[in-house]
Amino acid sequence: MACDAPIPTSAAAIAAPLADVMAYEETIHHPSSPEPLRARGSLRATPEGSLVRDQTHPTREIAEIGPSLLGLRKPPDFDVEYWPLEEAAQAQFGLIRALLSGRLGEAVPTADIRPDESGWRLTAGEAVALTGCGSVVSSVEVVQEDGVRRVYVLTGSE
Amino acid sequence: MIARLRCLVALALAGAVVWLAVASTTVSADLAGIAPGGEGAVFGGDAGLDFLVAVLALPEGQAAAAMAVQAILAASPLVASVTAGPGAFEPVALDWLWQRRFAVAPPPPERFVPAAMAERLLEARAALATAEGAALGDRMLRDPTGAFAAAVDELRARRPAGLGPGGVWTSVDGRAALVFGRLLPEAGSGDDLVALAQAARAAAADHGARALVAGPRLIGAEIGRGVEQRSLTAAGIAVILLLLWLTWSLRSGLALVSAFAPVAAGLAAGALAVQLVFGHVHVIALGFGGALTGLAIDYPLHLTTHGREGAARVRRAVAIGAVTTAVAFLALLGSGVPALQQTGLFVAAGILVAAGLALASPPVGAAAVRTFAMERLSWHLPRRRLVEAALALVGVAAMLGAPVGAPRAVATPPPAVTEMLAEMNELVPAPSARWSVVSRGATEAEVLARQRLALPALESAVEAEELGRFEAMADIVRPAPAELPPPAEFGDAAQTALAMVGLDPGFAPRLQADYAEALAAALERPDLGPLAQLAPLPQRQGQGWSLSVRLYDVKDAGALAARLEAGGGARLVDNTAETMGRLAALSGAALHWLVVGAAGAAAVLLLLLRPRRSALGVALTVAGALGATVCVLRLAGVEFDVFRIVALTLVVGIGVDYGVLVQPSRGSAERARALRSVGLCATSTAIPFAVMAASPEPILSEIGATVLVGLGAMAILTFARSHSEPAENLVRDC
Repeated sequence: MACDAPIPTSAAAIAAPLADVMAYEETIHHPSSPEPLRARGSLRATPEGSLVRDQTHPTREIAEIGPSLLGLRKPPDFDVEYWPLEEAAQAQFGLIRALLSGRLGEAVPTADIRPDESGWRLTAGEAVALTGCGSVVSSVEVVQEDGVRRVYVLTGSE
Repeated sequence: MIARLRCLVALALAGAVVWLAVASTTVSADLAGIAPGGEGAVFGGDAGLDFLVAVLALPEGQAAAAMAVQAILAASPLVASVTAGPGAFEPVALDWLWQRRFAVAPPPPERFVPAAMAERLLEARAALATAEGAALGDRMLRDPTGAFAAAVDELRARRPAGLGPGGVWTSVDGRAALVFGRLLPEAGSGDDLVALAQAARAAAADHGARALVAGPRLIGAEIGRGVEQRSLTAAGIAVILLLLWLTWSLRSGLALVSAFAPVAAGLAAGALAVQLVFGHVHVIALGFGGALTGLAIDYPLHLTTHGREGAARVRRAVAIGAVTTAVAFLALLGSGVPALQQTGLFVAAGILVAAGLALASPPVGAAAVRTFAMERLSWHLPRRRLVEAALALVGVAAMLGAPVGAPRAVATPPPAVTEMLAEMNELVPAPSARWSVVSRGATEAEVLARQRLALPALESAVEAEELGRFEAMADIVRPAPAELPPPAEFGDAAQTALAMVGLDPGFAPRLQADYAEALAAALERPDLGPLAQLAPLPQRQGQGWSLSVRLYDVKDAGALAARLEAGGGARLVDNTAETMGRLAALSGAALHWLVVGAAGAAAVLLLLLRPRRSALGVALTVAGALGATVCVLRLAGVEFDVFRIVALTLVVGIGVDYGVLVQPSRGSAERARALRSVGLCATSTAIPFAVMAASPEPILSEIGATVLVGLGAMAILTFARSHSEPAENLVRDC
């Protein structure tokens, strides 16, 4: 799908699709797996500064993600388990959190934004990138260790 | 004219020495400096680098405030690492866990069967689409033995704190967010550390929160700053009073400068000598040595007071006094405690240079010196030598009966620090400061193995509720697995397993490479640094190693000690008793070398002072005054620690100075002049030490009070006359 909108000049000019609770579809590419894995759910930033990922597919789980760890709740009892966050994941979730709370400009003050086939591509650090059209983000992707690529496609409100 | 020129040359020389010392001296506050042999294992090393900030705020504001504090700390060049989450889960710790997974969770042989590996691969692939997969990357998939997942589980279970709103760690009661950090071993000066703690508090305050900052080095810096401020206040008051007193007494600006110049040069020379020999000057040597070298102000005062009258005799007395005092302090070089050794060298070098400079410069303004008729205070002491000998003996008995080195606070923590620690203790349960379980051995591996032997005893103590819980490195890091399959064999099994679950068998070489790396790492000596927040790390101690277990809520130390003794591998250590023992050893060393120094000083006196009867008299007077000082302090309930004992060394120096001037006096007029000189010097010495004695800082008041009592005893005995000594004629010149 071609994008004719102008490329934003800075990260501060980029917004998430307008919704408090953002639906997402995640695609996970692993070098050992011929087929990518897919997951779905919603994301929201809390007023306290964390990111809540409520996943509905393939399994139900709610993760509250802080700066360096996440608390994970799974059915049936939804007891919380704490998990550390690998470095690339910290960067990716940090960017999504900044995006949903309208603070992308603060998170990536010196972003490198270049045109690509869908509109533009913003790289933040070595592992994380945003793509979008005009002022709206369409995906957030990260390349983890060993070439695992995770792409969050933000599909708007639930 | 020539005299003034010599004086100016001497002043220029003093200025040059001071400039050189200021330019080249490095001051150190290393705690290892007060350990016998300078070993860092007990006091220094990496101990005390960890710190914790509790950010007290309403739940909705905790995360933002904690992250602001984290950002400020992370930006500091003093901080090695900081996280609003637990240190064990920093990326570096995950990397460590990945490398050492076979040391933390060695897999059993059945995990290497292709079917079992296939099952793990399926689980790990599914986990990629969960939060675990997002958090850990594909490491679970790259380890089909399951060791990494088990290792992460093992460490996750050890975190005592909870997760608060905003995804930051909180205290158990949820009142505060917690920020964990670790300082760099070479982290800055005390002022830098105080500023760091203040910056953290300010960052929290900006978010409407209150930060409690706790960590041994940070708190030590705050206490140190308090001591420094009180010391500076005392020094300022003392200098002002001394200046007023000497301005009034000497009645000449040049005489005043001439009196202070040798002391300044002496202080600088002391610092330079220590710098040259030790490579740095310990803050204790600088403070203590500086105060003691102040004694050198006596030399120009003696010379000025006497003028040309008996100049040769006074110059000889000053030289003998300086050499004797230097010998007494040089004996501290044998103590084996770097700070004491430095203090000894500092004072000896300082005194000798000050005396040399005082002797090289001509006395200025002698005629104008205003003194009191101290000879009026001269008194008759029947059987003087017998009394002095008796006092010395009683002093020795009192000292032997005193509890040497009883522990007491070297410095007073400010009330704010005490209150903060109490509040912090409510938020985060602190490990026992008194009890720990210690293993010792020749190597790091040996102490880990020994600690492992003690684990069953610790676990049974927890079960029996003698102990709340414990944190031990051997409980986390297991011995290297004896028999794991070779990499090629593992690679074949992995290839089969990948094919079994529909994954690409071409990925097997990658799995094999990861396996070979982890296998090699498991057999190496592990670098345990990233686990520092989970359990104490092995520490070098002398030629060997020691490793302690952190204990919480020790309910029955006796029962725990018995269990450990039966199990072997480690013993329960009462840190309070160990500290008391260490302080007693330190005080014992200081006392031992005080006696050696006093004997050396007596030998020098006998060698240099004539007639020899005078030398014996001076030695006896000093011994008597020392004995009287000890008796008075013991009667006041004082216990002798290292600071009081070194202060007594100064009393020896003062006594010799006064004695060599007064004892060999010939004739009443000479004796009267000597007593006036002693009076001026004693008052000049009493002023700074009286200010120190009045200080609220225990270390300052101890030194001040000890020297004051010693000075009093010395003055009383110095002014005493025996039958053989002439009564003084009153000199009418003041």
